[in-house]
Amino acid sequence: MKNKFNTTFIKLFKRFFKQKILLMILIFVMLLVIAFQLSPPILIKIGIDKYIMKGNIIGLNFIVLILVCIYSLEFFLSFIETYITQKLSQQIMAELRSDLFKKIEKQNALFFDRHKVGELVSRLTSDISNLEQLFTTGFLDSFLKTVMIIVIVIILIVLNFKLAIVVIAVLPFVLMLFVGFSAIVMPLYRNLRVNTAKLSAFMRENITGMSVIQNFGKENAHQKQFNVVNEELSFNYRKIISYFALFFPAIEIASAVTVALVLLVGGKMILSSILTIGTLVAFIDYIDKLFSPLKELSERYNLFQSASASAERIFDLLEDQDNIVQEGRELFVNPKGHIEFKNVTFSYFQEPVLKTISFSIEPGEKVAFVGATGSGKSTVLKLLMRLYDLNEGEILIDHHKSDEYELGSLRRAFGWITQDPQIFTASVADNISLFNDNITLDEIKMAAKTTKADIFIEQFAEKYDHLLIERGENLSVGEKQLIAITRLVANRAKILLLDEATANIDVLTEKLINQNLEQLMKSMTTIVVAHRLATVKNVDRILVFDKGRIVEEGTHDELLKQKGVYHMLYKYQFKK
Amino acid sequence: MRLAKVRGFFHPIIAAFASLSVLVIFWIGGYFVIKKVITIGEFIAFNGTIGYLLMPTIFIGWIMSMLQRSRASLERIGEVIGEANVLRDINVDSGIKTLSGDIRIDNLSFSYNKEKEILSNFSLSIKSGEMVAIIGEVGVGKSTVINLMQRIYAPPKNSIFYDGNDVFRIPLEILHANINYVSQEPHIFSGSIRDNISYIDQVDTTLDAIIWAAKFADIAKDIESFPNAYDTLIGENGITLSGGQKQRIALARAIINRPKILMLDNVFSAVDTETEDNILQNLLQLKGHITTIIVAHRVSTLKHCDKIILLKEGMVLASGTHEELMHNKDYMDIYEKQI
Ligand SMILES: Nc1ncnc2c1ncn2[C@@H]1O[C@H](COP(=O)(O)OP(=O)(O)O)[C@@H](O)[C@H]1O
Ligand SMILES: Nc1ncnc2c1ncn2[C@@H]1O[C@H](COP(=O)(O)OP(=O)(O)O)[C@@H](O)[C@H]1O
Ligand SMILES: [Mg+2]
Ligand SMILES: [Mg+2]
Repeated sequence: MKNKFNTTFIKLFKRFFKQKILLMILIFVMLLVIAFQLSPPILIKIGIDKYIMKGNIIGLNFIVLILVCIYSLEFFLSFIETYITQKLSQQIMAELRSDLFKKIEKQNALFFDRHKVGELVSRLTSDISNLEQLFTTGFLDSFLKTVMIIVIVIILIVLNFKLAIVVIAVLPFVLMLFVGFSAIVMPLYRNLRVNTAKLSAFMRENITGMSVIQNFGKENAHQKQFNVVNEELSFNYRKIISYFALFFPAIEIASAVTVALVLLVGGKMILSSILTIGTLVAFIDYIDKLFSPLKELSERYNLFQSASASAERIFDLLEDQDNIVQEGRELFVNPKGHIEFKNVTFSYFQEPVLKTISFSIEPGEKVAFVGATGSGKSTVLKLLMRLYDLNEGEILIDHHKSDEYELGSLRRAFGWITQDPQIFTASVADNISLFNDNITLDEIKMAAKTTKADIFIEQFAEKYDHLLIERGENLSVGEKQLIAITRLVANRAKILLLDEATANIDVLTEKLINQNLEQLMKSMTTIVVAHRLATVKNVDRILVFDKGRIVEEGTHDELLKQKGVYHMLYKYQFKK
Repeated sequence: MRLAKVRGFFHPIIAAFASLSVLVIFWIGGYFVIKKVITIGEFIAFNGTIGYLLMPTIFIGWIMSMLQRSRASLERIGEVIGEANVLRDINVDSGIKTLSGDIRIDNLSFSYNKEKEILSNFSLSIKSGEMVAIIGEVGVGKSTVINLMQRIYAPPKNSIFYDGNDVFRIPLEILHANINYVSQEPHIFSGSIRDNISYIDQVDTTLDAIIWAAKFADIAKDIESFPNAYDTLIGENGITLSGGQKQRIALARAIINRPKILMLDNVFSAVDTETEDNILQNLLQLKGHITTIIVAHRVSTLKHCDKIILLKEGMVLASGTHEELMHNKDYMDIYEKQI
């Protein structure tokens, strides 16, 4: 744990140090700020001892002038410091975010099976913003504060060694207080993080499932679960705050005690003329400057805690190689659309879902997959899309192993539609073109005409500019499927994979779509998964799946004659 | 933690104010000491206490700006809490304890927004225990009817009646306890299959009841083939299941307590015809006990229904049994396309 913690920070520092020049400027500015912050007490001391006590008004004015300059410079430099810090951290964070997103895009589907959406989103948002704080208030500011504490102690020693001993004698107690406090609060902060994560996961799942909760009248039960999670969180918060309520006054008291001691010892020294009044005043100023950073550092503990956890999660993801889909270098250009499976075996877990499957599909051929649910039809399509790697066997696309192609170029040749297609928060037109600027509005309209999606799109007041929302709650499910099919047409996919893509579309509309697509489909290889046999009847070839195997193959008429599995499915559909 | 952030932001300004005060005290104080207006002791005391005077004034400014920012958050929270479209019981008849399954829809008109009317003067009556199918083109409003019947969206008053009572007179709790619904894209909770099927009552449901429901939805064989059978964990929103398995688990969840009314929105879409037929046979066994409303596209489903409603342009274009509708041109259109 400790070790991992360190390596995580080293990785972070590495990214940090990539911006050498900015970082050097920043450190220089910071040191200047420290110098400016720490010089006024000395100037004031000189003012008191040399001028005020001697009645020298010109000298006093001179010191005041210097102070004005120093304060203005300090003010100005602090702004520069903040600006550079922000710029630096924003740059690093933007880079990290983009690395992270790239990484997530490269993950195979097993990864998404395992990670909850809420969890991933929080990595890209709150984990990153945690890190950002770690950079700004965490590393940089803590560095500054620590340097300041050390410099103050040195100044005190130089100013007056004996009096400095008094202050230094108190410090171990304060440090103990600080360490003790951290030891108590750190685990509490760890719990807090766990609680927060639990709460947001709970919220996400319950909000997406709200219709089920309401329909089954389970509001109270879920409210109870929520209260438990919520109460845990709030209890932890209250506990932490109560410790802070103890710690802050304790530091105040320590500070007051130190001042009193310094006054006592210093007063005596002044009486015996070993110490000047100005030095005593400077000491008191410095004590204040010494203790307030301690308070602020104590608040940083939380930050370090949660940020290191965030950093760990982010780097875990960045370095996770397990679920990256294998890909080659070769670009997939001028696709013909030939597909071949050779003895493919695949399992999600232990149980094989596909068992030594072999088949091949010619360019331009239209093939249907039928079979019981769970027999592995969708899995074949997911493997074609290279969402998972195979266990055994190989998949050839245009007579070439599919894992030798560069992933993006391969996937672009495919048009894949699932049963619940994704709708993005964007206009209808953008949802169809998928933000591809090369597709003109006319092409979009043509595509929509082919798929009959134009009928409902034209009914929106803003037509193709009508705004759709994520998950598409303002469309019927069938309409979403129509949008998805239109998307494929507009993007000119070469190989169509339609996984129950018309299951929520009525037969009449489906028939019209098929008629319109017929011309287009001649140049495309098409695989349709469907249960409605009317959808399946007119394809060139039907493959019948059963428990991960292909058990029958042939045209509709041939399969009916065989009186096997297909015949039975057909019979069910039309039996009286 | 947030405090640290805000303090960090305010730091330069607060520091500037503090510096200014130190400067002024030092200058004027020093001047007064030289002119012997005050003693050096008084000067030092001033120097020490000025911070206490100034800090609170600075903090007031800081608090004001915090307040300003919190107000924005407060307003957003208020928007949710004060939301007008809350599901609640107003003026209900608390004497209604159960529903028999008798449903009547009277001249129902509805639109989600002003752009288009989805339903116009839609009427329908269903007797207790009947099995009714709603069919129609994409986007005609099949799901909308089902949503309105459950008050997922609010229908107009006096348009939907259960046992002759307006839907708004029925306590929501009773409405939801008597209607179970499987939506077109059912949501499955992460957790075990057992917990999902027994969702209605996770504490008291016996394994026998769970197995009965799984068998009813023809998913029992699939479940038994999973490594941990009923204790198999499923990912967020059923991600590790095939589409048809998800639909059938949702169906098992809805049938387990044999509700008076069952609403199924195209739940066989990802299910093969053999499995569909098995489930329909099971549903037919309960005919007379459960009022079932099914949205479907396949004739194989429709044939078994007591009544088929063909929706078009917000109205009922035709209704009747499969046999009766064989003489209807619009229905025949659909039928023939499937053969
Ligand atoms: N992401 C997944 N993780 C684990 N198991 C899965 C996953 N997706 C599907 N399965 C299982 O694989 C089998 C085949 O599923 P699938 O190919 O979706 O069937 P279908 O023929 O209905 O499309 C099913 O038993 C299903 O439970
Ligand atoms: N929440 C909503 N907000 C706005 N419009 C909606 C909403 N839900 C559905 N619609 C629109 O209402 C019409 C009917 O939808 P729906 O009842 O889901 O159709 P279907 O008959 O396919 O089930 C569709 O045109 C759809 O775009
Ligand atoms: Mg499938
Ligand atoms: Mg619908």
